[in-house]
Amino acid sequence: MKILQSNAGVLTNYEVLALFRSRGAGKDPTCVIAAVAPSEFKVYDYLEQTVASHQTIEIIHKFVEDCEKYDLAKGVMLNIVNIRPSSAVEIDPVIFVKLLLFCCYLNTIVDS
Amino acid sequence: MFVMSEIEHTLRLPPHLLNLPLNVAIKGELESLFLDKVIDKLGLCVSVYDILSIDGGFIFPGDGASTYTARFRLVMFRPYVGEVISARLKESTKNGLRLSLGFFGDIYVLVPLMPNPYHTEPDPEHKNGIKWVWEYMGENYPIDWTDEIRFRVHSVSYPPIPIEQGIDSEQNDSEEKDLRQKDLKPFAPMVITGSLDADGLGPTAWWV
Repeated sequence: MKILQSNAGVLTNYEVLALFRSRGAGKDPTCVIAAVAPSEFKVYDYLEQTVASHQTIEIIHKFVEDCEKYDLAKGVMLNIVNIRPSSAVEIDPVIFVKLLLFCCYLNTIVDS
Repeated sequence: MFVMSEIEHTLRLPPHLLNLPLNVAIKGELESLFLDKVIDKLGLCVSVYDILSIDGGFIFPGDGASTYTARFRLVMFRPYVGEVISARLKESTKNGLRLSLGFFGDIYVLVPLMPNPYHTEPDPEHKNGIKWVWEYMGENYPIDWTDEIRFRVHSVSYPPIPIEQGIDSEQNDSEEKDLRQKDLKPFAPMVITGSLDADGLGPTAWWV
């Protein structure tokens, strides 16, 4: 086995969920007929209980566009998309920067 | 939380799969090789994303199967340090918490990374269990079994595979040896250490 690229791209929880849905994971309650392995079903079950089950690609693209002005790191944006914080205290552990100036942006990011 | 990794691997395609289309047979073999396995420094393989190329197909002398070299991408579970993830409580002991995502259960929150200040209470519903309680502004906030718990990834480690588990050559007493083997946890090839010691972390019910 040869690792050509350890990081060939990052996926949001929604994209992984969409991958399993495209293989028929959501349409097979028996978890046998669809081309999805039992271990993949466990990941699917976890992601179905997260906010990713209510997201669409348009919502994620709009959020990324709206966040361009805040100059957030990709990892931070990915984390915000995955957990969808609904208050400033929930976004606090995601964004480490404690600059007084940046605190003003917290509420506007949550509103986005 | 999920990352794609590009891998090249040479694999032998057993003859009983020759009736299947080549990409289907190769994908099946790759899934049996990599799915739900931990690759050192890459993480837990969750799915085969796609196959980029298949080369070869040579049959070596004395072998009935053909050998292919495939380039493909795998979806790996590999959270980065500092990422905030939601999980469920799996174990609560005096050493800390063990959390689980369902498909991955080796997430540990050790005592120094628990929310401070805290105290512990015995848990009557679980044998040898401890209930952790965060103290804040005179109120007690317990960590319950039904809560969704948010933790921040403190570190991701890949312990080396042990040569022999639980066997000590100097241990002569067989009863003591049996007790030690029962206390040992099964080997975990990937361990995530989490932290709850920050605002917004811990059970989501604390912050609603």
